[in-house]
Amino acid sequence: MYDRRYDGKVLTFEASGGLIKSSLVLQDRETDSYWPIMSGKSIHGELAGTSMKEMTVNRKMTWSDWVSMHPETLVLSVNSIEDQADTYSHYFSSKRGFRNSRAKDRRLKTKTPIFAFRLKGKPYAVPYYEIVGGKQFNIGNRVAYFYRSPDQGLHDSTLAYIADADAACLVEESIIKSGECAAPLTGFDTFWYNWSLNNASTALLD
Amino acid sequence: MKNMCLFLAATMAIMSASWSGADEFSKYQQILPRGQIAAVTKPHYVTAKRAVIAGDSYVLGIVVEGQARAYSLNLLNNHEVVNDQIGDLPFAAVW
Repeated sequence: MYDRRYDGKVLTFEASGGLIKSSLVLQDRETDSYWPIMSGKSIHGELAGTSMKEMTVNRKMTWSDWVSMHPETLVLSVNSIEDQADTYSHYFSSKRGFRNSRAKDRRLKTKTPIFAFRLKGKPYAVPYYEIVGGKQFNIGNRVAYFYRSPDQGLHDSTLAYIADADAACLVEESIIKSGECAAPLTGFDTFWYNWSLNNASTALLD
Repeated sequence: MKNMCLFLAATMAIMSASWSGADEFSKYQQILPRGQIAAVTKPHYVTAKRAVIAGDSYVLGIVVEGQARAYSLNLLNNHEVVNDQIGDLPFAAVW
């Protein structure tokens, strides 16, 4: 999720039709700038060099989970269709990256699912298998907490929070769920190859 | 002299930043014509009761200003971007 307000304009984003290092590149209709989402910064056009404004208001989960939490929700309907067949199931179950891309950084396998984020401009990633049941990491003077339940599917969002290391609170699941103490940490649930190809100096939390 | 040095330093910094972007853009590969993947620019919604969507289908859910909206990941796969707005906040749903 991204804020659409940049440089005094409200931008209309669409897929550019192209990729950088196997990753989606958006383009906006107002300035024609190119915005690769994995690096998070425009690389060409009037707004080149501008960082994308990520938002922390979103979460992926099954429809049944979402509607039980938010029965009043509205649902996007395109041409009177709210859902359709999954055309990417083969990609998600395959060991290969998009268009046979592979991770150059071999610290993890190409399709290892990760949660990735930036902190003070520095890229970080943590593999899902490290955070099942919850785990926290000290990063400088901050503490980051991640949680995935054992029965979560690949598409379920990772819960990620960040707090000051000296905050007078426990960073644990019960605290996180109550929304106290720590702030949501914006990031990507993605595959290792997709993130690492676009963020070469990623620090791996494990 | 000091001003000249600052000017040169600033110019070099700008050139460096521009070059970095240009370098990155040189790796861009156009796969499909722009516009072939049609972004949603005027989203329409139905209530949860009217929505036809399987319980185990995944959605991207958001809550902004107390309003909840759900976007099927399968629909997002086809459109890549939904340009939306709640209150004064214009945002793009992408996954």
